[in-house]
Formats: sequence, structure tokens, C-alpha cells
Amino acid sequence: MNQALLSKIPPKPRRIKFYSTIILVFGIIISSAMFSGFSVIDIISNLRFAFRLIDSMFFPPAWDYADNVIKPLLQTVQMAIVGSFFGAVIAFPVALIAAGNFIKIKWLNQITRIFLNFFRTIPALVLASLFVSIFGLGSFAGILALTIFSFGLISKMTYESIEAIDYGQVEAIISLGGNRFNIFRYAILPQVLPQFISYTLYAFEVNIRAAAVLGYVGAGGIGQYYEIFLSLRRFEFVGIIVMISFGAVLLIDFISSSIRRRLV
Amino acid sequence: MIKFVNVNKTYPNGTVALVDVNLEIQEGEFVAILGLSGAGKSTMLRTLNQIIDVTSGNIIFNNVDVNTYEMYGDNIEKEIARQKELNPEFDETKLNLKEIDITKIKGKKLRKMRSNIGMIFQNFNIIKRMSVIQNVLSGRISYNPTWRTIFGFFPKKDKEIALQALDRVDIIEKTYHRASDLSGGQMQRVAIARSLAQNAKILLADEPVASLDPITTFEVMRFLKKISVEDGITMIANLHHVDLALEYATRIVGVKEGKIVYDIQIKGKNKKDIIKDLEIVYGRPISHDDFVGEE
Repeated sequence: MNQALLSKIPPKPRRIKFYSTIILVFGIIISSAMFSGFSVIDIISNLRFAFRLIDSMFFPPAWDYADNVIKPLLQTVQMAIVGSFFGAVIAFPVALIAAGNFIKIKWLNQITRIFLNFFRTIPALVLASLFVSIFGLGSFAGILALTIFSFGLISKMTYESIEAIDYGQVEAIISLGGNRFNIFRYAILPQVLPQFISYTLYAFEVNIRAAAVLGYVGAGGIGQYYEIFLSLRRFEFVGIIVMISFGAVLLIDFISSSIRRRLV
Repeated sequence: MIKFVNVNKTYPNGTVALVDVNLEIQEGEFVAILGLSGAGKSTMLRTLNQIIDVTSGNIIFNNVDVNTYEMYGDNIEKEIARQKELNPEFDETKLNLKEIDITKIKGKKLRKMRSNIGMIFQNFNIIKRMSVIQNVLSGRISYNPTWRTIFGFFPKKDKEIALQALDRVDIIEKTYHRASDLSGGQMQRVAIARSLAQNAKILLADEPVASLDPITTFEVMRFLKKISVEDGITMIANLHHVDLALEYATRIVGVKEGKIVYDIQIKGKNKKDIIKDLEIVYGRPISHDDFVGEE
């Protein structure tokens, strides 16, 4: 390389920021592991217990018990369907209020968002136990918990989608003399509806998994069976529930993701 | 007649878009607004239908009926005849025509006035997930109660109006196609049809051909010219190309840094002189790039 070219090259940037970020991130992970009592040695020394457990769960599978699993599993899916549906129904109007490009009142957007964050902070399991204490044992409490849970999830993603729409179409409807309802119907709804449905299906998939544990606090569904068999240490029954649930989740994910692909 | 009186617009971030704009436009004129990007052309159009409000000044429309906020414009007789055609029970004795400053009105009245002012855009802004006919019917929203528009139940009369509008821009064969399947030129024609269905008396065109190829550009400009001449629609178009302005407009208004620096009626003038004068607007001689070229 000749001197003239060499003198033109700018000084190589130092990557102190990059390296210090990496060190910081790893520092956080390692210290978290230490403080929370995570230990690789414990894993290795207990590995044989894990294998024994897996063996008693799945080998051989307790197929004769499968019949009894279907009904509570179906109930779990039904809870997820109803919860996702009502969650979505409440989520849309609230998302509209949270979206700064539809309702141009800043404090109202902010309050709505804080309110949404509040609901998303509470885990579904906690919501379920609270509803059990209000409405008593059973799937109704579970459905309410899933409704609130999906409401928080769907409304957040939907208001972000509403804020990302092409505003030109809104301008077009304004220029036609449209009122707020017209803007909603002709400029916003066509743009966000596919995404909204997609979020609802996603919430449904998440709800299926969440619904499976709600029975632990008496909120209906398959969770009750988990609780009973785990406390009785009947791992072969736990194993068959896991296997059948896995099949159901696979099937539902397949169906809902193929619907979603067609939408977007 | 439309009158800008000392209109100023400064955006909240401090950008000065319009400075003391005074302009009078007569019914049926085809005004081309020329100027560099950022000169204030788009702001000027958007203040006319109050998508953007003004900082100060007035924008006045003559002969607006204060009962319905329908615009009767310069040719009152013609508009009365049209209203009678649409509604046989129309009673012209109830008209109360006044000058209205659109910057001073709000809510329902403003929306009613907007329904007289069509707008087409550079990126068309039609609703891509709806069919062509639904898009054109959306031009009728201000003539129908909200519940009808929400469910999309438009009366038969409106469907007729929409189909006629599609026929006038030669795209009726696409009536039931999804709007997203159309080409750019076709989308812009649907947007023009929407303005026709809206019964616009004034049409604002914000860079209507900027995202089209030269051939479709001439096609869309011809349709704009056609409806301007045939229906007497006042056309106000922001354009980038000097030759389009000279070919299709009746008047050129030049905007520079938010001010009107040039204003000329094209008829009877030497085009070469106008091209030379436009240096004031662009701050440089007009070059080959300012032309679309021959058709």
C-alpha cells in the first residue's frame, strides 16, 4: 500500500462499547445463575433420577388411561377458545383508544396503555386464583382469567399495528367528509383486521398452554388431573396426559398457523 | 370561487410551510402548482380541505348554502339544476348562500364541506383490501347515515352513481376486482372515480402522477382534464413536470419557500416565455429533467 492511500484511511474505530456490552451481559447471566442457586453439578449428579422419572412416565405409556384424559383436555381447549374470543372482543375497542393516531388525546392514550400494562403484569395463574375466590371452583374462573390474559396480549399488539397503518388512507377518508366511524370502518379496519385475527389466534395458542395449568388452582381443565397425579406420584398418568396434550397442541398450532398464513 | 387570504402555516416543529398566501381561483380553472419539494405545495392543498389547519388567515368559498353546507360555486344555476336532478323535491327558495371561511368551521359542517372537495394522492390511498366498487362507494359516505356506511349497505342509487363513475374513467370491467390487484394507473383511476362519486366540485390532486410511468401519466392527466372540462370541476394539482402543467392546466402558480412567486394564465402566452419565467420558482434554469417528454 502506498503512503498516500495509507494517510487517507480513517483511524480504526475502537470497539470498547461492543466488548463492554458483551462482558456486562455475560456478567448478568452468570451472577443471576449463582444467586438463584443454579448448578451444573446438581444436574449431572441427579441425572439418573431424571431418567428413572422419564422411564416411569413414558415406558410403557399408560394407554388404557387415555380415554379419561380426552374429556378434561377438551374442556381445556374450550376454555381457551372462549377466553381468547372474549379477550379479543374487549381488546379491539381498547386498542383503538390506546392508538395515538386514532384518538389524538395523549393523556387518554397513555392512561389506557398503563391500564393494559397493569393487566399484563398479572400472571394468568394468579388471575385464575383470584377469580376462583370470587366465583368459586370451576372452569368459569379459568375462562375469565384467560379472557383478561388474552385481552392484555391482543390489545397491546393491536394498538401497535393500528399506529403503524398507512395514514394516507385515513387522509383519503377524511377528505371524503368521513366521520370517526367511517375512518375506522374504511381506513383502519381493512388494514389491521388480518393482523388482529392473527394475534387472536396466537393468543389462542398461548392460552391452550396456559389453560393446562389453571386447574392447579381449581379453575377447571386438565390441570386438576396434573395436580392429582403428581401429588399421588402416579407418573405414568402424568406421562399420558403430557403426550395427549402434546398431540393436541401440535394439531391446534398447525391449524391456527395455516389460517394465519392465509390471512397475512 | 376559492380565496386564500393571508394564509400562514407554521408546523408545531417550527417548519414554516406557507407565508402570506393570497390566491383567488375561479370555478372550472385547472391550476397547476409548481415548486420544489418542500416548497409548501402539499400543505397548501391540505389546508383547502382542512386536513391541515392554518396558523392564521382565511380560506373562503363563495356561495355555500348555510343550511346544508353544500357548495354552489360561481355557477349557481347549474348547481341548482344538478341538485334538482338528484332530488326532485329540491326547493331552491330555501337556499341561503353565503361566503364561508372553511378555517372557522368544525365537526359536521366541516365534513359536509369536505364532501364537496375531492382529493387524489401520489400513492392513490385507495383501500387495497376492498373491491373497486366498494372503494368508489366510499365516496358516498358523507351522503349516507353512519350505520349504512358501517355495514356497507349503500342505496341502489349510490351504486348507480359509482358504476357511472367507473365507466367514465374506463375501468368498469374491474368493478369486482380487489383494489390491490390493480396497476398504479388503474388505482389512480379508481381514486378519480371515487372523487366523481363524491360529487366533488373541487378536486385537489397531490402529485397525482408522481408514482406512474410516462404513458400512464398522460392517461391519468387526460382523465383529470376531461372531468375538469366536462363537469366544470375546479382542479388544483401539484405537479413536478413543467410540460404537464403547460399541456393540461389553464393556469400555473409557482410556490417557493411557502410564498407564491409566480402566477400566470397560460392561454395566449408563449410557452417558451413561461418556461423561462419558471426560473424564479425553481431558482435555476428549467432543464430536461423537468419534462416527462413526448407522449
